[in-house]
Amino acid sequence: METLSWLCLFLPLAGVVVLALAGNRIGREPASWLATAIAFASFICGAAVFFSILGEGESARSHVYTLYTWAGAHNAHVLHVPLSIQVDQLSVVEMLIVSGVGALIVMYSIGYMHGDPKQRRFFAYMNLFLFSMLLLVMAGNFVLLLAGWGMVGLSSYLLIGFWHEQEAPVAAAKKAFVMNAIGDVGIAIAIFFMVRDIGTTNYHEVFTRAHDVWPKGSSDANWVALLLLLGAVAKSAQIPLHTWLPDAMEGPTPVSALIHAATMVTAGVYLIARCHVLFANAPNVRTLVAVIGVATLLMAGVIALVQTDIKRIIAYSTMSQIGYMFAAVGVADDSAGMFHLLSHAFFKALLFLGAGIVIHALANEQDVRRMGGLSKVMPRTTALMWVGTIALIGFWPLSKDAILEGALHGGGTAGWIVYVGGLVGAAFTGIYATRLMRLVFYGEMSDFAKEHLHSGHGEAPWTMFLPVAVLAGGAVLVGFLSIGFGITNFFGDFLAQTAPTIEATVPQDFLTTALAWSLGGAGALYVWRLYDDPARVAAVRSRFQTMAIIAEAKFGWDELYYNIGYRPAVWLAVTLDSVGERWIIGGSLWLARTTVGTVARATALAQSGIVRQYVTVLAGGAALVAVFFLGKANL
Amino acid sequence: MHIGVEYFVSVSAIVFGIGMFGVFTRRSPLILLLSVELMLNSCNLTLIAFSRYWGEQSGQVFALIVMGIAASEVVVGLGLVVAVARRKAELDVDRLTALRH
Amino acid sequence: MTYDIVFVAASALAIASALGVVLSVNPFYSALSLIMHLVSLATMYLLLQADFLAAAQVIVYAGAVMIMFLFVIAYLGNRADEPTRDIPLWQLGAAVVAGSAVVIEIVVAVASQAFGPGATVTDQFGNPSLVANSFFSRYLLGFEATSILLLVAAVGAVVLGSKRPSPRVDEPDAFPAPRTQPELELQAAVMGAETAFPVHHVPRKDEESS
Repeated sequence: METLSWLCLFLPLAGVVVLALAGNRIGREPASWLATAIAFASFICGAAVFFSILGEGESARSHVYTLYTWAGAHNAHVLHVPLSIQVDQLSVVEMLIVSGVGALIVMYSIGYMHGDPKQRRFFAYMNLFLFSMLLLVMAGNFVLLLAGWGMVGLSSYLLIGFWHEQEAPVAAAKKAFVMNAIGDVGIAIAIFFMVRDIGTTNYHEVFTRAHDVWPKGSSDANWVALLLLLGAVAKSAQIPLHTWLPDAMEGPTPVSALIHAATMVTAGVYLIARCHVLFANAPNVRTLVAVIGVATLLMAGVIALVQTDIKRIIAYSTMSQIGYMFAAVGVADDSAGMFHLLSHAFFKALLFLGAGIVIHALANEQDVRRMGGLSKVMPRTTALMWVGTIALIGFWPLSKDAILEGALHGGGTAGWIVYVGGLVGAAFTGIYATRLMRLVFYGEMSDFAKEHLHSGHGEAPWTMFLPVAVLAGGAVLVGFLSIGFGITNFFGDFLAQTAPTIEATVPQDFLTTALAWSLGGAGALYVWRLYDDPARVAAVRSRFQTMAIIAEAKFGWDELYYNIGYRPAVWLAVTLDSVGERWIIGGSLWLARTTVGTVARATALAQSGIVRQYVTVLAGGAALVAVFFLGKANL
Repeated sequence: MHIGVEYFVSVSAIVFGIGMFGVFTRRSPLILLLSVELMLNSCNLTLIAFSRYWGEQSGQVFALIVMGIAASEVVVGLGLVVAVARRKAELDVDRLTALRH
Repeated sequence: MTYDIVFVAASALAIASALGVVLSVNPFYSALSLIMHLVSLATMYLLLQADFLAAAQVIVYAGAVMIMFLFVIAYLGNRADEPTRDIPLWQLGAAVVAGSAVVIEIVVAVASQAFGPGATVTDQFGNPSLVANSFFSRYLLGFEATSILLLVAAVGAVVLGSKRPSPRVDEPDAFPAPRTQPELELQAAVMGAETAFPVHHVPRKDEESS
């Protein structure tokens, strides 16, 4: 199983290297299929690892495999960093998600990116991302985690800015990378704490010794958890480091699906689940996690109500759902959070890929106001999108309900906040998700859509359709893993050792489910009927005028960061240039130049070319030397 | 009275001084070279005087080498003088100042 | 006794002829004075038992170097005379002072020491064979260096004396500017050469038609 784990990790890396070195010697289609095959091969290895872990006993399921010692092999007094992976229940779940959903999305990209002049580069980057994300989830120590963390940030940058000839993707990529870098600093400083107090960054040692070196609730424990939280917040686009995610939609749709819905943005949740020991050690920070989660889920839900770009609606939905996951791990229900992560990966990727089919069919149009009535021309896509929407609203696979139940029963005060906020968020979710479906697929087909729909291009090629169908099937099936209808919580039990859950005190909390369903359904029905009449839409908007304006301005975060971050930096740069560069550096250069010049001109006066002058000076010097020596000899 | 080494050295000093006077004063490069020869010879005299005083051969050897050097120097110096004269320039060291900054 | 008389005579002659070298107006007389000076020095070398060196002095110095001088003076003819501008008086005075200072310095330094009678040497002291022994064993490096120096001087003399080859008629002249006396107008020639080459003007990017 060790070999399989390493294969799962390194196959995508081999793919990148091969594609990079082959360059344009390899054809476009072969390159795409190669990347897809590698992704699937990685998934198969991951599945094999999963099944072998299933076969093992509870206590034996955590494996740490080391390839070699990267740092500190020969010196006992320095930090020891091995290249080791930890394969246990939590990481194998992530491995399956990353490689499985990843493989499906890479396959989808074959159709979506067909004809793009830089197709091969895209697939190389996708493989690079898969490798980085696998490294992140399989890392056995924090240094390797940070390496994977940074590399997924890099892959995200490369893929968002894939169409780098245009300005907007490049700016979005930079924004994403810079905000992620802030999170990287957090994790790095947390690593410093570990090195100082524990002496190693291996998960095993850190988690067993954490409460010895950092007493529960002490300031050190809080700092470590807070810094890790900073990293998680940056990567998962939660308040306050969330503004990069909507901009990241400038990248190609498969990128949005894979990186900014299914995997990378959930890395923060994974981190908190993995380090649950450290967060249990700092209860106040854990509460903060829940608060951030609730705040984000509500804010993002509101903003999604007024978005007009199909991808941005789904992006804010992602932000909101990750808020749910943060809320879950914030009340110590890690397995509920992971379960929502799993099902979210399926249905969110499904929604993005379906949106991609729509965009592809309408010649890259993304504004929902120019769509409409598409269910008539693409019925299959519509059906699959409904599956995703139902999952998103929360009717099935009940992943949202699990969070709410856990919060209610085991979460204390924070749990109540999560419960209430989660229910309100469910209403919002119902509204914006149904609004999306209603505007895009039903109603009058807009003139634009009529013009641009290619007759045969309505439905997608099989390479794009099949992954979407598989994802839909997955979204349905995944629910069975955690049915709380009195049957065992398979998923929670599986993860119990590595990601503790809150056992429900009642077998199934029908009340919570009913509340969630009814709120979500009510919102859905309401908006469905609302858009039948455009006048009513306008009336509703004017009633909630203030809120609508705030939502459309995305709560002003971008403007805030512009004013407190960007403008001071520019001012500093300009001042340094005009004062520092001009006066200090330029001045010192001028000083050097003038000094040398003056001295040179002065000494050059001695070179007059007159022989007698030279002789005179020579004789004078010789006389002085003679006097000196005579004086030394005491004459 | 016994003529010790100090007398020879004094004579040498006087000749040296006269040579220096000539170098400072004369403007023809030819005479300049002759004055320099004077100075060189005075040094030779000193060397040989002290060689005799200490009973060492090395002083004489040194003097021989100095003679060789003086010869080469004269060769080059006269070559320069002739070259300058061939270019029809005036043989005046105060005028020949092309090698300046 | 003879020793002293010869010494006084030789030193007097040496000083007188030195003055003759420096003070003569006619360069020919200066050269002749120097020859006399060299001979008197050779006498003094004999007094100091440096026989070989005395002979070398006469043969090499007086016999070869001075002949070269005389040749050049003869070649130069009138031009070897001193230019007519006079030296300002203060320069003369300064030169006298400088020379005297040196002399007094050395004389005082030497006289204040108590030199003894000197080492006793054998008759063979200034013998060529002894000098040669020293030269070829202990001071071999000096010997070799001196020979190289003489070679350099010879090559230099040949180069200095050679005529510059005249430009071939069929070859286009690289310097379109007229040939002047380079030694006298060296700077002008250097500056002129810079503008004498045709300069290829490379147009800047914004000058090109876009």
